[in-house]
Amino acid sequence: MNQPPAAAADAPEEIPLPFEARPVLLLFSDDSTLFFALRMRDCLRAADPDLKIHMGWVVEENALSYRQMEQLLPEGPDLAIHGKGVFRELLLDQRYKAILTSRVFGALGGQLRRPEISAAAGRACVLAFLGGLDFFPQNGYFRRRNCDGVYLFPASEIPVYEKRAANWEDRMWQEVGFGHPTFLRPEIEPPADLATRRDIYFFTQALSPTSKRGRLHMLEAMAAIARANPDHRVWIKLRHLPHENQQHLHLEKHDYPGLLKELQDPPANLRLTACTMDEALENAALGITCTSTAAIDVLRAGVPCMVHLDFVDNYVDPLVEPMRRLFAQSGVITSLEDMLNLRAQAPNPEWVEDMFCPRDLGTRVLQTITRFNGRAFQVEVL
Amino acid sequence: MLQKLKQSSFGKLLYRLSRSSLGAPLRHLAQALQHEALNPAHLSARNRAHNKAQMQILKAFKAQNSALGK
Repeated sequence: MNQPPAAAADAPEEIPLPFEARPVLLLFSDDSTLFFALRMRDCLRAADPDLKIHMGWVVEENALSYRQMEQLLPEGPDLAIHGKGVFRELLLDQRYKAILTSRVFGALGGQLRRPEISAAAGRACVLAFLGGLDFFPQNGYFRRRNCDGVYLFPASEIPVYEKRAANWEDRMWQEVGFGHPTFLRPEIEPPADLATRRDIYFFTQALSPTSKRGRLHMLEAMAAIARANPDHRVWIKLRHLPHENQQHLHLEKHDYPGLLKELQDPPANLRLTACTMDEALENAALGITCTSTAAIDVLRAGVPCMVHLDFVDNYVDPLVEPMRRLFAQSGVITSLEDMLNLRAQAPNPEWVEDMFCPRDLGTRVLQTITRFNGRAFQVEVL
Repeated sequence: MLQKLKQSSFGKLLYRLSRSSLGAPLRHLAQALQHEALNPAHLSARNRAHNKAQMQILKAFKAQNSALGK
């Protein structure tokens, strides 16, 4: 674990570290933002093993259960961020060289909108990434307009962003880059033991399928795959347990443990798990999902992937068509018949190149931070 | 339409009534009207054909495996 940051009360007496020697702060408040922070930490460590990185827990927006925190970040956060004006302090007190986030929290965005904060000398650089697969990214682009760096994907979205940004009157120094720590270019070689793996994962999602009938249909399809492949285990990988994440942006209406009880005579090799994504991918022979970012994790790990969008009641699901558009050229959208018979296709390399960024993301992010510190027009803020 | 109703004074009156001590029947009615099975999209011939086709594929797969003793 990193050394905890100095107590706020001591800060005024301390001489601030030179900009480049300061730690980087990664923000999180729920499972999605924590996945981002953990992966970003890996990217930064790969770029600079000596870099100090602090994990900042935005308490007022918390939607993490104790179990999730213990499972994903057993060492705990380095900093609990709470209280009015805390983001102003974090930006101006020269404790951090950068704040990296996949969600522009309202209080942070509010500070960045102030011209004197934006132009403040020696302040922390704020880099915003997308939250994940975003089917309607226009609002997210606008929320990130005052951040010092914005990292987007697919690469083809960068000119779209720049075109929109041309109409924003309050845009200050900003660099736009390509990438996200979840969207690193996949390993070229599939896992060495792939042929001997026997675990098939269905990565569930809170919102999709929307209807109970659609979810039961998916569950029955998984049960049918399990029966047809008795030498395999079919895992229903839960994003969270039914009682967890009640404050999450995406609230699950029909949970799979409850639906499984309604299934008649489920096979013994159809099981539920709440393991982490990384644990699942260590032994997955195949990953199936509907509209989840999990498809990206599966592809990045070099594991065969199926995106199934033809489930029952898919027409009432608002995420199906945007997911279909985003994955149209991917080659991994799979019909029910192919899914049941485990006929997976390799992803289209051109689509992969547009969607997944080069693996030097950490280096590029650190370069953006250095360039930010050398920007023109910096003022002292009293 | 629902959004417009929510913003109207009639919509606000309904909301206040539903939150009052005698509002339970109103809440139950609202819940029933918002049930996912009542979505008019389920009535479209195209959507019904889609659901039927998916159910048939799954049924055929199950039958095929059942014949193989799985």
